[in-house]
Amino acid sequence: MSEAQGEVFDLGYRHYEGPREGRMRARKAIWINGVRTALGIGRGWSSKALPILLFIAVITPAVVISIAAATAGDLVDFPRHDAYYQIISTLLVIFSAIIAPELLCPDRRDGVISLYLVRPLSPTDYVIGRWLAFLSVTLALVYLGQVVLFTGFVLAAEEPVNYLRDNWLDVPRFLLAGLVVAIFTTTIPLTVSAFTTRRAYAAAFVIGLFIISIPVAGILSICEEDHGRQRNEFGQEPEPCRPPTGESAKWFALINLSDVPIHVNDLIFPEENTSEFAQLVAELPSIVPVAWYLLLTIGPGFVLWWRYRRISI
Amino acid sequence: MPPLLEARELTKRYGATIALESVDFQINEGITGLLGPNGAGKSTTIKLFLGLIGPTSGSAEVLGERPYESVESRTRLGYMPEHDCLPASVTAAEFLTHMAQVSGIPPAHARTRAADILRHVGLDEERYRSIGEYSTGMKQRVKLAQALVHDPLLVLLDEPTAGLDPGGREEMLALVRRTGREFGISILLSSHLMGDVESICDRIIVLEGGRVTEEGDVSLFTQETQTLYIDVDDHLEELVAALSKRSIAATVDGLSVVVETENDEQYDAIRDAIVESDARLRRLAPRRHGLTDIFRRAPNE
Amino acid sequence: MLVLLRISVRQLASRSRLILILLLALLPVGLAALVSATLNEDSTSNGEFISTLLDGLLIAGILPIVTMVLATASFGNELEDRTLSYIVLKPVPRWLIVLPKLLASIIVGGLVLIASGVVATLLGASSLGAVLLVLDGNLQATLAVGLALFAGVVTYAAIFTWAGLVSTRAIAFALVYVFLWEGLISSFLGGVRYLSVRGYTLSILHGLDDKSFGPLGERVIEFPAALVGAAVTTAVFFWLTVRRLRRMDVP
Repeated sequence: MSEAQGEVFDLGYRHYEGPREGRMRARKAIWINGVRTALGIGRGWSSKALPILLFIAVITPAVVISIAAATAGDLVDFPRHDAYYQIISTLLVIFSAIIAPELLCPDRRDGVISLYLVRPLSPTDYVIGRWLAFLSVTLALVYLGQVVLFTGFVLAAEEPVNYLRDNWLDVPRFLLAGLVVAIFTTTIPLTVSAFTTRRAYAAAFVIGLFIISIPVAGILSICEEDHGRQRNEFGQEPEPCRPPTGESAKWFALINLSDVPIHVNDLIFPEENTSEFAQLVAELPSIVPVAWYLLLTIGPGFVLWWRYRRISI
Repeated sequence: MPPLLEARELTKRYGATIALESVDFQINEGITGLLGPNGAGKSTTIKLFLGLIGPTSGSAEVLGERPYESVESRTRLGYMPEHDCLPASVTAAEFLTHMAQVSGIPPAHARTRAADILRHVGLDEERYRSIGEYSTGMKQRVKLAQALVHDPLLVLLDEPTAGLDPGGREEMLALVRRTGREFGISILLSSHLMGDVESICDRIIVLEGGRVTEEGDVSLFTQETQTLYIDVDDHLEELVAALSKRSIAATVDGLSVVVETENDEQYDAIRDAIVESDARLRRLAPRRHGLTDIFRRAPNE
Repeated sequence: MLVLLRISVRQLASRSRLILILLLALLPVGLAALVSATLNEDSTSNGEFISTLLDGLLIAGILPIVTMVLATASFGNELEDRTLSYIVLKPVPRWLIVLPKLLASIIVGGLVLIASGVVATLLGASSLGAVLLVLDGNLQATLAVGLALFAGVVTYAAIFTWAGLVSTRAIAFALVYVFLWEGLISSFLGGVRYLSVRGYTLSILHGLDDKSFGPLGERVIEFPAALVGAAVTTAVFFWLTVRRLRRMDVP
């Protein structure tokens, strides 16, 4: 055989001699894979369409406000960092309800979970990895909006440096409040997803839960004074507005699930939230909305962990 | 070095149902078959060694460690389940890269390993297609590939030929054989099909009703029960007489003389007997007892 | 066709789905009972309360959720079990397959939702215990609620039946449509109400009895436009479903 032909390709099996990083690498892989799944990376276009659509929807308010503020040049009337999470709260719920189940349901439906749990990975590692993955995505989403908003305000201000000096505290505040919001919208949808293998049912259930809780809380705690006056046909003095649940209305306002992290957000920011639910909740001692928030994150979080602890495959 | 797998008085009960009852065995290098009818406790045994479930009593050890108590001990273990376990919407390359990482291999190496192993199972061309588009046989190969992607010392294959057509089954068995012989990866393979185990295993363990009923080298099983069919055209009685003169028991079955051979030396004696009887030989054929007969025999023991 | 209708209804009315639907349908009734029990007779916020209940809870939340869970499943089961071919291979025109499927969703969802809305209206319009007395006076309102909900169910069912046939992720897309488009975007862009089933339903409700449902006035479009919109939407999606069924290669 001549020199030129002498190259030999060894196509035989070769053992792996490289590094093995064990459980830590496994946890990291679950986390990264979760982020990729949530965003549809490495999948077909149909898997990417929804995350992209929803991502755009959640970012849009920040972009619109920034542009409006920049053109107006006057920042006073625009919603600011304290109000941003409330503006996007419904969008965020829709996003979480639809995307979060992607991280848990298909693994159980397709049986991939049984391949995970025979690797150097415990059920707890797995579920924490998925939770962190979705939290990362949600955090990126809410922070992105706030950063756009902040940049917009700085650029729109007449004296950007002065603006920065006067308002830099907004940054740590929205970072903290964003974490509060993201943990909330991560935990409940993932917990619901742990109980069904059908992504769609989990999504419908979560959205149903959040959306329906708004009018339920509204009916029980808010009275609509204006319409009441119009409907008084006999020219009598309108009765003082009285919500159907009277004095306890401020407690019933807590039923509105999507506002639960917002009440904590309102404690972080010095500005007053003028929405009706926030006004009602503000009458309560501030420990109440905090405790309610903790109950509705730690509770479902525990259920999620417990559900996967005893998973059988 | 401890044995690859070791079961010591391994018992698993589900309520009143006994899945495994005080099972003892060791598995070392090579291909071992775990044979038994459905419900014999094969899947339970595999799940115990994977640490997916804990034993009621006794111990299941992998390389001297108990996987139920330490998840790290599964680093060098591979598992191919019987049921579906593949995501539909990702490519095989992407899926295997991810699975290698979950086994602890860093991303850059994981990609190489994924490509390598897909080539070895014969999915080189199709690796950038979504797994959802694969045929059953191809999916089965991806399932094997994910069990091998992190280069384990031992893989546990739960019914690897389930649901395959005869052609696919042959290919799968050839692949398993290669994994054991060429790749040097030890294998524990469960099956309810005698043919699978017989054709590729070095050793077999027979499970029935949650107990080990037989254990040993597969050659031992098949050799000690070898039957020889001697078809002759005439001189049947003479042949039987000549055989019994050489103290070989023979029975007549139609135009055949049936001989149970115990060792290879008897072949010489049989040849001499045929010559002596002057029978016209038409066919001389061994009929290896399949492992079917082990089951038939087992209850008596 | 009656056979297929019966099969479809039975298939949709599975136990878990029925429990979910009934729980959702009981929610407005329960709330109406609770509130009318605590409100005093001449309270000022009665009308408003009914409107919030019907619009915010029933029409914007429960109606689309119930209908999407039912209608996307009407072909979903066949697609999943790969049994669509059994139905499609029958020598009947395709619209005769779509119609009973659609009717099944409308019957199962419509009955429950209309009952829920009507009872909630009656309870809310009166104080508890006086239901029968006020029935006369509220006949128009009750009728309006029933008809509007019926129109909503039919239109949503037509859209979601099509979605269930086209995509395996129909519910996700349906959720985005209902809560992003109809819920959120329409509250900023009024024109969206002309392209929203929720807009049609509210407008029909308002159009049939604008006295009782006056508070809805600012959120509705013209009554005839709503009727035409609902009818056209239903027809278009029915046709799209038939066309899709004709063109798809059945697994």
